[in-house]
Amino acid sequence: MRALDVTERVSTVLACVALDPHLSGVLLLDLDPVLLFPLATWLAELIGGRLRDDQPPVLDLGGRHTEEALWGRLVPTRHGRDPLRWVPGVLDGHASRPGIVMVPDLTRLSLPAARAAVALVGADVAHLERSRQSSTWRPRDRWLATLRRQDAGTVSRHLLDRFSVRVDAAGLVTELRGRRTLPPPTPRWQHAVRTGGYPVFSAEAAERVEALVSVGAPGLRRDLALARVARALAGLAGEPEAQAGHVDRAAAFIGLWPVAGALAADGNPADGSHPPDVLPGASAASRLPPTDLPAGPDFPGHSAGPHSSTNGNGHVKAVPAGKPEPLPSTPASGTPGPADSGTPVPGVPYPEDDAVPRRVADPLRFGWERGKTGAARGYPIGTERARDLNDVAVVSTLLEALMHQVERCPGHYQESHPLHVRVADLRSYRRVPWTGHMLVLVLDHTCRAIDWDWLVPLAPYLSWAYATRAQVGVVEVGATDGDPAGELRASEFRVRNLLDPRVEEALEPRPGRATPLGHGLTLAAAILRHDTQQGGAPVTDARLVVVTDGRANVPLANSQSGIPPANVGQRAIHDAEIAARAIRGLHRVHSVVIDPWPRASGHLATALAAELAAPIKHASPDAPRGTRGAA
Amino acid sequence: MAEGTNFPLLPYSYIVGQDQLKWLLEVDYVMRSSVGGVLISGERGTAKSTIVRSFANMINEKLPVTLPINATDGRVIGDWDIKSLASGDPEEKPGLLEKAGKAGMLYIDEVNLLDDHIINLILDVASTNVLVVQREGMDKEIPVSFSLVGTMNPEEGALRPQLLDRFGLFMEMKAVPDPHIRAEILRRVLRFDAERNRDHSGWLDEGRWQDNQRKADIESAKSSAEYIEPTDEVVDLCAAVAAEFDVVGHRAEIVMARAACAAAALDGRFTPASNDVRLVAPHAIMHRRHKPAYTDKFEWTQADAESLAQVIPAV
Repeated sequence: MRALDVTERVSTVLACVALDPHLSGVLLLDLDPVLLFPLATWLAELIGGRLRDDQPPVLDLGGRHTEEALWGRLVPTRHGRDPLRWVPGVLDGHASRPGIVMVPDLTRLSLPAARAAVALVGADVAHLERSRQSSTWRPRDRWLATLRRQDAGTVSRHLLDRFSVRVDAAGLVTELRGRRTLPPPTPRWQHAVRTGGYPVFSAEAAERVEALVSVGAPGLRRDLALARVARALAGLAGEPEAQAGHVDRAAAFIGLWPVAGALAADGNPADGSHPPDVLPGASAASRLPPTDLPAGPDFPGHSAGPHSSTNGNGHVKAVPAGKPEPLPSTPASGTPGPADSGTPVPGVPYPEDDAVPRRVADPLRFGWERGKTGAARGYPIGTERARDLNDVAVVSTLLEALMHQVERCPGHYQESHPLHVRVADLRSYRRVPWTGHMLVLVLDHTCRAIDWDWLVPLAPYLSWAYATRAQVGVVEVGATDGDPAGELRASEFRVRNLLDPRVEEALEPRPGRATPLGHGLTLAAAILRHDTQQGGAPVTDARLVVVTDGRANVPLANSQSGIPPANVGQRAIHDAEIAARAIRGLHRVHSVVIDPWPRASGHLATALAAELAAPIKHASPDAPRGTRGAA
Repeated sequence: MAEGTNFPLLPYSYIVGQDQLKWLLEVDYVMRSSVGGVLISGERGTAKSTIVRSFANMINEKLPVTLPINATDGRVIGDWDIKSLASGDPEEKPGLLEKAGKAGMLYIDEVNLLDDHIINLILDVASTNVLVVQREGMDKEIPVSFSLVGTMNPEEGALRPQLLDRFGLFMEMKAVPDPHIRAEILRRVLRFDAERNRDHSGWLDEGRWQDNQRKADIESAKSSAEYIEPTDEVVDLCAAVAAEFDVVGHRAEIVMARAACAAAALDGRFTPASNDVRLVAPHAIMHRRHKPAYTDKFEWTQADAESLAQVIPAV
């Protein structure tokens, strides 16, 4: 019995991608993003050969690309009669040769880039209609993206569907020497990619695909991805026709079905099982026995054994990925998915099917910008015709005016005088949706020792944050993660909105023994000061919610030094009050203290609220439990 | 056919399944702008765009005039050619709306991802059939009439009701559930992958020949449709259906009557029948009902089918 290791899995799928340009969207699940570039260059070398000029260019698509950068823009030239020149964007396939587009983290793809991906990945035809440019082309870029399974719920499913080729890349590592992540492709692969061509896809193979892909799968992209990978496997092996066995192999490589990783030498499942009958009634195809082993001899390094590979000098060495891993797969005996938990299943190639949605509504649409001031808007992602004089894009406005100079002033370029700018030329920035709202939660886990549910009093504030798409900052005080020294300090993180899973995790009770409230409030003050007080601060409405009973037992100095306090006295409480007083002085910040009343030490919370100049709210002692879903 | 310079599309006749959408596109084409286009809403990977492009390619032998989500306002309504403008001899560059008026159809991919100001431009033209451009020294009014065909994934948000109403017919696309048909679709697509890479493909030639036959039938229906008028019975039925489903406005029954005439023409008849109304009615009223007009999804339920059957019994 032989298991596929991650190196074999990733290299084989990428070789398929090199062979078939229709496999244009690849999602490398749980890949360390650092490794994406080595993989992209490996793919580029396989497609283009050793000469760099023949290789497809590799493009890194991050989170800051604007529409102009992606599609193209007009720039001024020094030629008097031809004042503007069109510079194609990085994704304008009409103006550039096919490349490899890397998306190091699909969750951080900018909105313009995500929209571009939806329009380009896997499309037959692409159109560009911008700034007096009009072009049509057939997209030929290969897109490689990474995504952590646990983040699948945060990405638009529409976008994820474009990346229909999946491969589990968890555990892939780079050799320290040589920086090679994958072994070099075999000569057979190189020959197959160089010669191209498509094996015939047999009727049995097509039936097998439909037996393996769930009948509830959206559309046909997954079916097509599986079929194309199977066809490419046949092509890499130099076979004229793709059979059902190739589909089985392809299913194993992309993690749809475990059988190929658990095949005995006779080609039958080692455990005697057969492919899962995902279709009701088990079609004839699904009862076909698996026919072949994964293409072991084709895989570079396999001749030396499953755990070794050959480097470029023919030297045999350990494959960096280490020992073979259990094949990413659905359980052979049943359907995947922890339906009860909603957590993505490790190994299943489509984690978005089971992930709890954490994406904002309409994630691919440009948001409304109604009522925003210049200070309350996000960074520019493009320009549009100005509706008022706020946020005018000066350069774009001048470029717009530049085109009309001769029309407005026939002798403009013969004389030296300023541009003729009219109202119609005015352009303003299009910016990412930015709410201008912020919620900062200070969560004192040690006050959860008594039996109350802080989600009930927190619910209105969480609802407000959701409705306004507010940024969220969370400061955790007294939470234990098994490190006693760590409990002396509060911890903080900031997320784009309430839907980030870290917020829900923070709301889980993890009471420790130390309460560094002073440090927690100091961190909260730093967050608030940063986003509300400096220059053109983006946040105009910040709400600080401090959930605490007011008790503290770690002075600020001990939090900062990490040395446990010997004699606390009132110092810890005093430090908390000083930090609270500093927050009181911040404008644009509205604070509230939530106290698990009634308690013997209830006066401490009242005193803290007084220092914050904040109202104090007492959680009802009758607050019902089990409302965690409100978050 | 070399790739990159031309766009070999899957011949319309080779498309497997999704017959209802194909029929609706033909109905719309036969009556052209008097029906008002088709909005195709459906889950991912159901070949929405492929079918629209193949249909347009069959009819016009070229890609449809397409409004992509990267379009800027200047390209939509028209602007100046830069070089000519800079040289002092300005030439206008027609926008997509003007081009669509000449081609008879405007295709909007991912219509629910369009910028709002672009949607406003389309609404202005679609409601008046006149493109008015008064900007950057341009001052013109052009009669423009086209069929609006849009595709969208409802997961990415709903359309504004005003734009929704501009689409004459609505089609909800679902993936083909039959595994054997899905397998046939797979083989067809994979064959197309291979054939379009060849310098010459007899298979694609055969598909184009079949397309020409189908196009001739549709053009014939289009010619005869000019002489088809809805009967009083059909008009009464359309009104009754609209009343039964409490649709917004009166566009639904108008579209229904015209689409029924087109359905008759495609069937080789000169008189629309009640069954024609029964076939087109769901597509004319689904997106115009009061209740679902502001939701993301439009459905035609079994209860809806039964209500329709009460107004128009099945033949």
